[in-house]
Amino acid sequence: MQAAAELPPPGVIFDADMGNSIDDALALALLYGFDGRDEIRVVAISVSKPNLNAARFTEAVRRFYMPGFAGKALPVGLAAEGPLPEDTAMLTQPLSRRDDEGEPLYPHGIGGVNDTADPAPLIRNALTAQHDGNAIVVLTGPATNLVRMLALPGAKELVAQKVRLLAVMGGAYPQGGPEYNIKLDIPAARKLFAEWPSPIVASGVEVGDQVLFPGSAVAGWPDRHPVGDAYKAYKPMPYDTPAWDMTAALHAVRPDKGYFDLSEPGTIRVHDDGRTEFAPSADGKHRYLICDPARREKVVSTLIEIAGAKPVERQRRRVPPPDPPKPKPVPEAKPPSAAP
Amino acid sequence: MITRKTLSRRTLLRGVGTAIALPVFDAMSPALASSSIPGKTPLRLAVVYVPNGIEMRYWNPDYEGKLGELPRILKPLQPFKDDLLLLTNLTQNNGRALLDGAGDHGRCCGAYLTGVHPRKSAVDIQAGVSCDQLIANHLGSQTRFPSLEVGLEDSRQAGDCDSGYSCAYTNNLAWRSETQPLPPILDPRTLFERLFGKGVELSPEARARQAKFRRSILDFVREDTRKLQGDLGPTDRRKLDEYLSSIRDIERQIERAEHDNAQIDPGMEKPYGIPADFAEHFKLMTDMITVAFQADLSRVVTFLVTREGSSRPYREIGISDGHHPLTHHRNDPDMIEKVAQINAYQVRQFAAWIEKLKSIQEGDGTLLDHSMITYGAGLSDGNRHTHDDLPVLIAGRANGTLKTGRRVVYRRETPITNLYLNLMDRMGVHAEHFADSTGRLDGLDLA
Repeated sequence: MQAAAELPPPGVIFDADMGNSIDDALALALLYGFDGRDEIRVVAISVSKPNLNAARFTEAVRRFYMPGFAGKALPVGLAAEGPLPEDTAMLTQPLSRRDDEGEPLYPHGIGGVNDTADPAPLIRNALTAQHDGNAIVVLTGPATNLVRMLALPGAKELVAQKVRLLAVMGGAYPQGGPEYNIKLDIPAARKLFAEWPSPIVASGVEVGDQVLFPGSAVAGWPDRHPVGDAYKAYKPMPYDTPAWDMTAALHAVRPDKGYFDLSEPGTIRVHDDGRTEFAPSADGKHRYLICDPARREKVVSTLIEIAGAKPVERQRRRVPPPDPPKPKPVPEAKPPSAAP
Repeated sequence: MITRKTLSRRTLLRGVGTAIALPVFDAMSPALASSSIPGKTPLRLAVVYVPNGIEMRYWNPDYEGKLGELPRILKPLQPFKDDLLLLTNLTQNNGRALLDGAGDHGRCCGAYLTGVHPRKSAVDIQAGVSCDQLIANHLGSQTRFPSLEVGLEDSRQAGDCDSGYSCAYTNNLAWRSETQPLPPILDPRTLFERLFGKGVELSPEARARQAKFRRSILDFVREDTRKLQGDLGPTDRRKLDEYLSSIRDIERQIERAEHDNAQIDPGMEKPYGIPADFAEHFKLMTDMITVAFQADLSRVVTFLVTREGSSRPYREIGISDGHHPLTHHRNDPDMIEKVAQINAYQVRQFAAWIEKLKSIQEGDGTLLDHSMITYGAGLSDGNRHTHDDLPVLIAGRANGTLKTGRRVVYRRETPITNLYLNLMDRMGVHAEHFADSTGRLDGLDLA
């Protein structure tokens, strides 16, 4: 394993129930804000809401933040099982916007389900491309996709090798609930907390309830902004929204910045009815976030700053992978000049 | 010994230094020949691999489902569209860099049938057991050769062939173990003698007689042939004549290649007897694979058309630039055009082979009906070295178990190793998973 100083920014895998509430979109904007500052790389995104427009919107957001990178990134993952939930305005409104030529303002390139990926191999494949201990997983929806990935042969070993932290928005701590994300797939949540091999930090519903992301910040974003459009379509403006998912993402990327307090280690248990309960134990792999009202303003101002950052062209800030042993030049397999 | 009433499936025509296996005759299994008992006819698998990716804009149709008009590169297969399955969006993740830097050609070929991320080394090679070898191990002694490995270009096993990756990765498809690739046979004479020798070396005298008088191996088995003809009905006699004629044709092609090679310098280093002409070489090798299938000498073949990363020029069609440099076209239309011509030229040779397999009657169908011949590459876009949406097609109906004549589009990132599970199932190897597979592919089976 390489020394931390030599490692590239950690690769973040983001799995969300995009479209159910606006904070998933805000969390994605936050992650891309961190990506633009070279603090992380968003390496895979998957959607646990089995709705094609959820995948389309997510891909549109990615293209907004990664112009010119569409063909080079992994596709968006989409859970495709079960009945498709209803579209929501936060998805359909941005997707329906057109520019002066009548073209989609936020192109996405997803025609049907086959233009998306099965989340299980997508997440697994993304992990295989990360340095040991240099991957972070942020889960802001039900655990359906992660648990399916975990069931693949060798996946638990891969997670143990690659993932330094799983940040989960879900549950209520030290006990409470049932919280929405947990309730969406209780068996998956139980399995996730019981079997996920890496440390887990949970951001309970009580954290986001105390951290409100202000609508006034979104009002200041450019008119052409898919997350801004989603925000405006989600509810009549002006409104502030609990930053449930953003808190999990913020801690995942900056765990040492003291935005939140951390519980002692222990184990999170999910009851059959979806209630969550934390039991302290010295060797436990789970912790939960605790919001200190005194630091709330600092948290909110950070969320506003990073989520509101403009897209940054990735080509200029691409960090090359560590050099492998220098190969001998062999003309046979080399392109005639500069090649990809 | 040959008897009139029943003929063993293992009947051989024997002569000095020669043993020629036979195709299925009615006399070998009258019940089988006159009815259609599913699963009784041996199923054959061949994996055909072309290097440097394919110009996918000319490979993928713009529709799903029933195959109609095929795109430009696949056009030579148009007459056989009802025997084809075109599969889209399959991925070989372990061909990707995964932190190992440059070397996509070495990786994509080393991973192609193993599903394993090859170790980056020019010396200390490691991949995995390839799925064809799992099948070959399973079939074991049912055929004389558990598998055949065939190629047209380069079987060097040592040295650095791609950015630190051993030539063992670019020049082999089949891997018997994690560290033991099975090099393809390039020389038609070597393959011919492997198929029709006795399994032991010819005596020096026999070899000398063959060489001196340019005698056909058919001359050496004339006595057995004459006896056999007397025991066959008219249909089987015709089949035997056709079969032996095809062997004689192969011999003549080899002799011609050897004669031509003595006359001309093909402009590249080649063992004696390898035809300088790509199409001729392709035909010769596939003719022999056909005979091997017909005579049930082997049911598993890997065919590395040219080595991965090949820079072979295709002067046969007026392209003097190397294949690999052309694929890094950086969207230059002239270069793209040449790559597409090479891709189509290779498919044309493949189509000729498919035509031949379809022309050979066997039991209640054709040899193609009783085969699964996959054709594809370890890269899709050779310019950008992409490992998703690989070009994959299957020709043949796999003993009536494949629903052909269609294009099936899967979800992106679907592992190509899922397909291998489907192929292995049909060949009798039932594994829970293989390499990075996530399950079996839907949509292949005959409904």
